[in-house]
Amino acid sequence: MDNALKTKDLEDAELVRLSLADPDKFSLVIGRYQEKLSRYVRRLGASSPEDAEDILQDIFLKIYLNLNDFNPDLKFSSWVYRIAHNQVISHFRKRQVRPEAHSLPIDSPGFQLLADDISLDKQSDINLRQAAITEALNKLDARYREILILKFFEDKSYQEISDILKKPAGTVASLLNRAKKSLKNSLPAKMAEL
Amino acid sequence: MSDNLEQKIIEKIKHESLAPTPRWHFLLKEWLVWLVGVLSLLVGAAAVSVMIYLSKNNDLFIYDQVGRSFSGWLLLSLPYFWIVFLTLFVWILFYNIKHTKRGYRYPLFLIALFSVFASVLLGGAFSLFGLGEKIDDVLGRQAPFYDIIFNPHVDIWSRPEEGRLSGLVISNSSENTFVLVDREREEWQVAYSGKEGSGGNNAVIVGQPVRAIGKVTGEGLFSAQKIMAMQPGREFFRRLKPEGAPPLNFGPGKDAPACLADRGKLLDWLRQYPELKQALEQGLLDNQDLIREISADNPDFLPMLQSLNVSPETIQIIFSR
Repeated sequence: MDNALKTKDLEDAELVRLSLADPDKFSLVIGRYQEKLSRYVRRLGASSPEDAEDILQDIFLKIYLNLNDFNPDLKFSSWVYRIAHNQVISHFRKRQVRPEAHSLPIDSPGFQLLADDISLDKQSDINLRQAAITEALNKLDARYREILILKFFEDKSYQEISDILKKPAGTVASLLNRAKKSLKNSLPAKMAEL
Repeated sequence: MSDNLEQKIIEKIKHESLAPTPRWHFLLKEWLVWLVGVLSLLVGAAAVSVMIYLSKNNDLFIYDQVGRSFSGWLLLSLPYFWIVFLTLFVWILFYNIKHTKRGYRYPLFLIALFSVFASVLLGGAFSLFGLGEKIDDVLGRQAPFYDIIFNPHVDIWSRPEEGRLSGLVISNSSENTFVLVDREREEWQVAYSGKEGSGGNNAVIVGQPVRAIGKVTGEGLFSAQKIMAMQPGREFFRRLKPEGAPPLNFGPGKDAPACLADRGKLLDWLRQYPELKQALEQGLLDNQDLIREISADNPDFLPMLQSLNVSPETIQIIFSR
């Protein structure tokens, strides 16, 4: 138990150092990020648990192989998400399939955040609203969907999104703005407040 | 799935003996990106310095004398090769900055602006040190198709039928006529009847290239209204020195080695006017290749320079290469 507590307290950079010294310690990195990345991968469009697991395995292997490339100026989580982002894109490109947003967990608080941000009609049924957002997200351009997921479902700051997508913070802001407009336009008219 | 995946990954790492890519690999990659970026900046800046050198000697405002409009003359004399060359290296610089570890944090227009300004500013600094001139000289001496690719002015000034003639002065026997050999190695007897102050005899130096505005008056005859020195491309024109031609002299109006009878007078003047001596030495330094060439053809040339009290340091600089 003590050990588990100590591990929990370790900084990411320390986990990287330990993993470089002993491959077994990489399980600490996997343990810390598996759930977050699994959710992220599914949100980005992995359609089945098997698919998600395959992608996740590739992501962690890539993280392990590139541990020495981690730059401490960056948040480790941003670096990990960047690898995940690239791996998901390359996965879908290889399979030549379009990612689907239907695997967004319906109970995610991101729906509420997103609905509030784009001022959706609060009167409508919460389930209907979430279903409509999921459907609209599904229709969105992949780069718009991804930035909305990072902002509202993964709760990332502008700087973190900038580091993950390797785009200037200003570009992230305008992309996010366009993504929200595009999402609003894709929703049924009666749901979007004026 | 949690433990299962964790185990699977650790087992795969062990089973396939996977190891993190060494740090030096990433550092090398990053250094390469920077190195290529810096090299592109230097090459782009060198291109800018050549463009500055070419444009400084372009005489844009003689367009009416050559029967062109300003824009027509400008378009004709733009150094297109260097513009494309600069664009290419600015793009490589831009690309490399964008691909450094932190390059993505800066807006593209900012990187593009930086790439252009850095190349232009450094090119300006290079130009102050005469790099553009040196590059042009080296290319003029050695580069194939120099007159077509690197220096558009050679071509522009090689149209006697349009009133523009250029070439190497190979003799200057009388006050108002001289002989030049053009880039096709044809000799022209050029008669000059212009006014002082518009070039004229001051530009006509045996062994130096000149360009002239005027008209063809007969076979191998050209009547010049304006004569100007031709700085860029001078080494290209020196390739045209005819086989077996007498050694190219240094100084206007002289075909033979410097007039020995005047040496005493010249020495007096050099003593009396230190600026004249300074100008002479600077002229020698500015034309080191020519001085070495003349000296190689004339064993008496170096002693003659020494007899003019040219400082040993200047002589050492010229002949140390």
